[in-house]
Amino acid sequence: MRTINQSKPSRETSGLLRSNRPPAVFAEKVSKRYGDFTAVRPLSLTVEEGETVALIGPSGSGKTTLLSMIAGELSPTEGSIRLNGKHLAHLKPGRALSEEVGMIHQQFDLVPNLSALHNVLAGRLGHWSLAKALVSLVWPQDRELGISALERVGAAQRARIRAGFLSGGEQQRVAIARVLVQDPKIIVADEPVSSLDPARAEGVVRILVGAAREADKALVASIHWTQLAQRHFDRLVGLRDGLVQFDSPADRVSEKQLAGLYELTE
Amino acid sequence: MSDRFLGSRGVLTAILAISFAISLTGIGWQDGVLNTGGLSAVREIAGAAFQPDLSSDVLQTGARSTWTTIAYAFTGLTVALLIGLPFGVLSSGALARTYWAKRLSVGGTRLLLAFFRSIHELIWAWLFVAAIGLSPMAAVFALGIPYGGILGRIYGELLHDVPDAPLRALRSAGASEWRIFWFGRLPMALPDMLSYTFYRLECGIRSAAILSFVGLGGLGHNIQISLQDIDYGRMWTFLYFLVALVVIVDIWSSMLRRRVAIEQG
Repeated sequence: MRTINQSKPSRETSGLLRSNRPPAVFAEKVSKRYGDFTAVRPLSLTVEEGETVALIGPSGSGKTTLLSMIAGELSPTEGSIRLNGKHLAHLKPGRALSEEVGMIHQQFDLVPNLSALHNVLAGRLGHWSLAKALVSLVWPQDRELGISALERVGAAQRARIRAGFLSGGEQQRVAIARVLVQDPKIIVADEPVSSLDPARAEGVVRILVGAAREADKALVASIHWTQLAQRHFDRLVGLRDGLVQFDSPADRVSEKQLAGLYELTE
Repeated sequence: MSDRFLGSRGVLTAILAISFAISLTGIGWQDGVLNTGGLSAVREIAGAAFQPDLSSDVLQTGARSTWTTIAYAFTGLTVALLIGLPFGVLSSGALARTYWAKRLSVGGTRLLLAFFRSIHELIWAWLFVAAIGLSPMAAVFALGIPYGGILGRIYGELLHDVPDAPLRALRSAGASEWRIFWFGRLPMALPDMLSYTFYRLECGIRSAAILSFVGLGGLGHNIQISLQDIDYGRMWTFLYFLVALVVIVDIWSSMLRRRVAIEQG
C-alpha cells in the first residue's frame, strides 16, 4: 500500500486561496477486486481543483478501473472517494453526480444518428425536463450553449452533421464539447485519444486540456503516449499492476521512471 | 449395437415398402387421380401471363381493388404499430428501473406478444368474421393483431440491442432512462425499426390480398373470382397490380431508409 500525499506543485500562489477548499478528487486507499483478480490495489490519489493529471502506464495497470471509480461508474471494493468534499457513494446517480464529474471514453460514445449539435446538447439532459428534451429532438434547445461549446473545440461548422459521419478526431472533439455543456467540476477521460493517429491525438489533447484549464476544471485522463502527457498535463501519475509507481510534476518525471513503468517482466 | 440398429432399420424399410405397394392397389386409377388436362391448363395460364386483360373495365376494377388492399394494409399496419410500439418498448425493458419491474415488463409483454403472433392472421380473420361479421374492421384487426405481436417482439429486441457505450455516456451526463431512451436508444434503433416496419408493410399487402379471400374485398377477392371464371387474362391483370404495389412500396422504403441509414465511420 502506498499513500500519496502530494499537493499541486504548479500554481503555488493559487494554492493559498484554495487551501480551505476540499480537493476536487480525494481517493483514499481505494481498491477494486474481481474475485481473485485485483485490478487496483489500495492506493490514494488527490487531484486539486483546476489541476490536470495524466495517468500513464501499460495496459492492464488499472487506469481504466481507477477512472471508472472516480467517475462513479464503478464502486470501489475498499476505500472511499470524495469529489469536492462530497462522498461519491452518497451522490445520487443522475443529475447530482453529473454536476460533479463527467466522463469521456475512448471512442464510440456518441449517438451516430444524431447531429453533432444534438450530441453536444445531450450534456444538458440532466437539467432538462422530459418535455424540453423531447422538443429539443426537433428544435434544439439551449442552442447557443451547444454552438459555443462546439466553437471551443473547433467543430462549430460540423454542428449539423450526424455524428456517425464525423472522423474519429472530430467525434472526440464533439465528446469534449458535450462534457463542456454538461459542465461538471471534474472531467475524467479514459484513453481519449488512443484511437487517433499521433497528429490528431495531439490536437485533441490540446483542446481537452486547454478547455479544462480555461473553465478551471480538474482533469484526470489516462494517456497512452507519455510524451503527449508530459507536454500537456500538470502532473503525471505512473500506474503499474494496480499500484502507483510515481507521482510527480510532468517536467520532473525522469526517463528512468518511465522506463521502469513499461519494463517487461516475464 | 449399431448392427442391431441397422437391422431394425432394414426391417422398417421393408415394412414401409410393402405397405406402399399394397396401398397402390387401393387407388381407383380410372377415376381420374391425375388431372389429365393439367398440362394444357398450365400452358394456358402461362400464356395468359403475356396477354393480361387490359380492358378499361378490368383496369378500373383492378385500380379500385388495389386501393382497397392498400387501405387494409395501411390501417392494419397502423393497428400493428399501436400495439407494437408501446409493447415493444416495454418488452425491451429499457424503462424499467428495478430488477423485478424489468422482469415483469419484459416477461409479461413477451408472453402477450407471443400470443398475438402465434395465431395466423387468417385465423384471426375467421374469428373476427364469426364475431362481428363481414366488416372491414374484421380485416383490419385480423391483420393488426398478429402483426402487432411481430413488430413488438422485433422492436423490443432492436431497442434492447443498441450499443451500450453511447447510453453509458448519456447516463453519465445525468440523463434518466426516459431521456436516454429518446436521445440514445430510439435514434440508434430507428433505422432498423423503420426498415423492418417496411418489410412488414410489404407482408401486410400480401396478407391483405389473401384476407380478401375471406370475402372482404380487394385484389385477392378478384383473383379468386377470375380463377373461378377460368379467366386467366383477368387474373394476371390483378396479379400484376399486386406485384406493382409491392415493388412501389419497396422503392419507397429504400428511399426512406437511405435517408436515415448511417454507417459508423
